[in-house]
Amino acid sequence: MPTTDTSRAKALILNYQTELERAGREHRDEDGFAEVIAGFAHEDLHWYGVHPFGERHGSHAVARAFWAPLCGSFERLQRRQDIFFAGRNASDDALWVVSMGHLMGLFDRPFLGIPPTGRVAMLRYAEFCHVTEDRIARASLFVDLIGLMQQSGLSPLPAATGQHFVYPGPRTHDGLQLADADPVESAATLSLIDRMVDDLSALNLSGEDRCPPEYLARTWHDDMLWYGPAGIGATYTIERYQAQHQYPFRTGLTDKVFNGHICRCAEGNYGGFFGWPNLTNRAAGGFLGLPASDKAADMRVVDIYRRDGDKLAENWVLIDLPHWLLQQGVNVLERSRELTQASFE
Amino acid sequence: MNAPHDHHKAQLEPLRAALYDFDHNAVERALRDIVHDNALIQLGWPFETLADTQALLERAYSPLASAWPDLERRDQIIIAGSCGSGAYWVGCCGYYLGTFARPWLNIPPTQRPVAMRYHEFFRFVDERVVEIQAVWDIPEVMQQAGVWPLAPALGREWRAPGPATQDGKDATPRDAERSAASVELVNRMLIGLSRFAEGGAAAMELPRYWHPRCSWYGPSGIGTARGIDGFRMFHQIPFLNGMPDRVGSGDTGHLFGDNDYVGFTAWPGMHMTLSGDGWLGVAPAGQPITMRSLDFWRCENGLIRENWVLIDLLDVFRQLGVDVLARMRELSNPGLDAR
Repeated sequence: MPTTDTSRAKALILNYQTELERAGREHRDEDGFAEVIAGFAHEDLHWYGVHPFGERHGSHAVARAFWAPLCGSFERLQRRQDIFFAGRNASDDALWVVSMGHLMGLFDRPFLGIPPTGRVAMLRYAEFCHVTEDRIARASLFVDLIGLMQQSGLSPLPAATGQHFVYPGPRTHDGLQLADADPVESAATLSLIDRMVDDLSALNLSGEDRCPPEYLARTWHDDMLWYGPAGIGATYTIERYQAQHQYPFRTGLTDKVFNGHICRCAEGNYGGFFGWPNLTNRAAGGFLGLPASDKAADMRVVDIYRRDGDKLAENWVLIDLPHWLLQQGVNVLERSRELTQASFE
Repeated sequence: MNAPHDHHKAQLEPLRAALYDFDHNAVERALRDIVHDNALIQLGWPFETLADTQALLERAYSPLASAWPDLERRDQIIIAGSCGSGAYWVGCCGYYLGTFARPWLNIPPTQRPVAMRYHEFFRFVDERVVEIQAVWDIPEVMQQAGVWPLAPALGREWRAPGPATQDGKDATPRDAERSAASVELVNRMLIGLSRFAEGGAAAMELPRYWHPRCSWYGPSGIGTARGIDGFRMFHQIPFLNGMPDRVGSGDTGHLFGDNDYVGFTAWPGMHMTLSGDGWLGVAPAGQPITMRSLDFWRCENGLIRENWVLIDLLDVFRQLGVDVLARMRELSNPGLDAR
């Protein structure tokens, strides 16, 4: 029987994952999924889902918005978890459990209007669950829908500056931290993430969009791997990260404001955060290969890190790009529907 | 001397008009009026030899017209003449066009415009069509639907254009002497090609017959090549590497001219052994095969300037043991129906 708060919370979430997967295999309906979620969550569960799922309250709303439709489209859904850890949020000491990897299945029926392929699909995800009194009180779920569209042969965005592929888990293959980690290591990871975020915030304030590589080298490993969302792609090494993401991002976006995080926590060598939204900014032209906009837009972002010694070595990132684009008047899901379901019938 | 040829062209006009604004009843009527009851009707794989015009209509045209509800036929070349054996032929080169609204031959619809080249030859005896030899470029449709299941072409895949001179349907009276000169040029070129086995590439003397800016419009799966070098690189070298022993079935082929144009049809027109590497990415296993290759050439100042070629590649693959349509179905519908 687990004794610490973190190990009890992790056990709760692992059971939750198992039961959700079982419900999918059993082709449970909306009520069936709601029942599973209700078995692990508080009645007033507050769920944050990326566009188009949105914020939902209560088990039934979450089942209806996400799990029942996803498992209806993805046959034999498997959660392929690459990173799993728990930690206390820096600002309010809330206990969060973090899971990251892919939701894999046979993409057999349309999902959100994205045409099925009948083949394996890997939907990249990150899930944060806030646990109180042995139940989930709040949860956020980020999935890379643009990555799924690309697997279906759709290209809703212009060519990426980085390279997008099915991203691997940590190089060290130790991302599933089922046992509690040494708190000293956890604190070191959190403090390194804090310093990196502070460095970026300083750039926002100074307006310096093209910082030298040495500046990043203060917190980043020389061999840093940055796994960005579909539409941006992954990059390797500090110099290529700057060329293929940081500079396009920083120079292509203006009026950048950092709004803080709902959760920022770490355990062992792993840590991460999400915000709702983390950032507010305005497209100045060029980012994602898209033109400038006069509208400020919120950006919801997940970052998960692996620390190696005193540097950040790997970083998995999800951005709710469909939501960010929608605020500027671009509905990528609707456009995909038009693209694939053009009909004169 | 030209009277029968111009007359034969005119006789096809009602059928062509009925196919331009595809109308089932009008096509049925036109086919009945012009095609002999015992005609030999041959359309490329998977249609093959069709029993009569009703079979041509029901097995080929009706399914196409229901998949492409606004079906339209566009002729780009229409030529008529008689070949050495004395047979009278009319050849048509063009493309079918429509909106791809429903599956055709299990090729998934795109809801967008779609086009398919055809080379169709009609043999006349006593005012009636007694034989049809025709190839439709079905791989072109698969490519537009994104489900071509075999190796990519070496040449350029595109909607092959009509003649550079835009005179493929010219009403200029057929000049017997000019037509004979065009046939003579193509015939000498073909004889040159046959010297490859003994004398290699040089023996074919390609520059004697081909314009330096010639265009070779091959079937989808092979594509278009430009210039003698392009023709060699993207088609002929791989073709001859794969099938160095290919022999034209001269006695069963039909070569005829109409002013600057020459047509050739045969069913089949070549036999060969797939013995070497290089053609269409197919591993050679020594299979003997035949080939239906239907050609149009345009001559210009004593040289061949353009060449439209359709080979019944689906029939070639069938002989090699590859059912292209079956593999295409696996690609476009991977087991979703099975459950």
